Amino acid sequence: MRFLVLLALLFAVLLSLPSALAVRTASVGSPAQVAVVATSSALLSLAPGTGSGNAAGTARYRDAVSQDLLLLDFTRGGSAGTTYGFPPNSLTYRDRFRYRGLFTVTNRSAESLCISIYVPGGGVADLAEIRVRPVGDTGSGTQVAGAGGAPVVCTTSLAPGSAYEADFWWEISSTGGGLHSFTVRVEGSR
Amino acid sequence: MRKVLGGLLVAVAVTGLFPLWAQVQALRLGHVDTSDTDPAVYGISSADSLVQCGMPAPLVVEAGTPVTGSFIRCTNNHGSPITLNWAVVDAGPGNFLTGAGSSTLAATGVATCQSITLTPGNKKATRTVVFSGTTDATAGLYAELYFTGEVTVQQGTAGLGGGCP
Repeated sequence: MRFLVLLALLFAVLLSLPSALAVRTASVGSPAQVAVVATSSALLSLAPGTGSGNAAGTARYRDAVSQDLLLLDFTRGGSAGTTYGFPPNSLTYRDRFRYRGLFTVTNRSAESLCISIYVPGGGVADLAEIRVRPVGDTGSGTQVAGAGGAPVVCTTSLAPGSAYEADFWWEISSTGGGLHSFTVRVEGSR
Repeated sequence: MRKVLGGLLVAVAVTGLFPLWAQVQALRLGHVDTSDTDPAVYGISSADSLVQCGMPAPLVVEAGTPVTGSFIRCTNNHGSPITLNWAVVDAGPGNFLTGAGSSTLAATGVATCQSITLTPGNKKATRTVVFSGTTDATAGLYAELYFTGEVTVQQGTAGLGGGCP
């Protein structure tokens, strides 16, 4: 009898092992899960900036009603329907462009989270830095990604209920020939 | 037998809870991606630049006489007004030219002529100088723009030439 009980317990432990391992690498990546937890109300929620940095709607929800996904479109400008851009090779002339407060990241969980915003998979040309700062703060904030959008080691934590604004710094040193769409990932970790 | 069945029941219940726990943890560590297939892109364009400035024509100024006028043409397509603080950053040797000013570019995107104040030295020459226009670092769109222009400083000429029409 004892052998059978021990066998049952061993069986239970073996069954739970994959789940326990999954916790260590947990992430929400599939569209289905993102659709279940809307971007605007997720524990780590994103919302388009409301200040002049996002005056052209560069950051916006894909669907304004469901607010399921936040999109960034740097070709947006003052006139709807017209595609704009940065001057080619403008860094050669020392020109710099920095969007402040493109979107906000709010920590709706009950614990402080280390915030990371970066471009996975090799980054994107001409993106000099991504930075975060408290909403309304006028400083230059804290760098969370470097050249190309490469992540940097956790540098700042976001308290429960607090929000950060995300700033994108561009330095254009190309003519645009190798440009492509890219993904920006926002992560919070303990 | 009853104990075995009870133990199995507890084991199944605990095992069943693990995926739920994993999901809760995942939400705490959640991330939200922009989509690869949607327009998370940026354009590069000389014709429809987000913000760009230049000096349309060479300037002629009188030596030693400060002058204020509309000399620089800019476009702003960002969608909100931008205030640029002007300076001549490369006046060349011998204090050839200094300059400063501040002007607001409207959000409309229409190219308008911007006014700056230039203070020529007494050296007669024609040189290429560098102008800079920089927004306040706290502006929604922080822009730092540099461009060159040809400036002639000559003696005893009251009138000015060049710049914006």
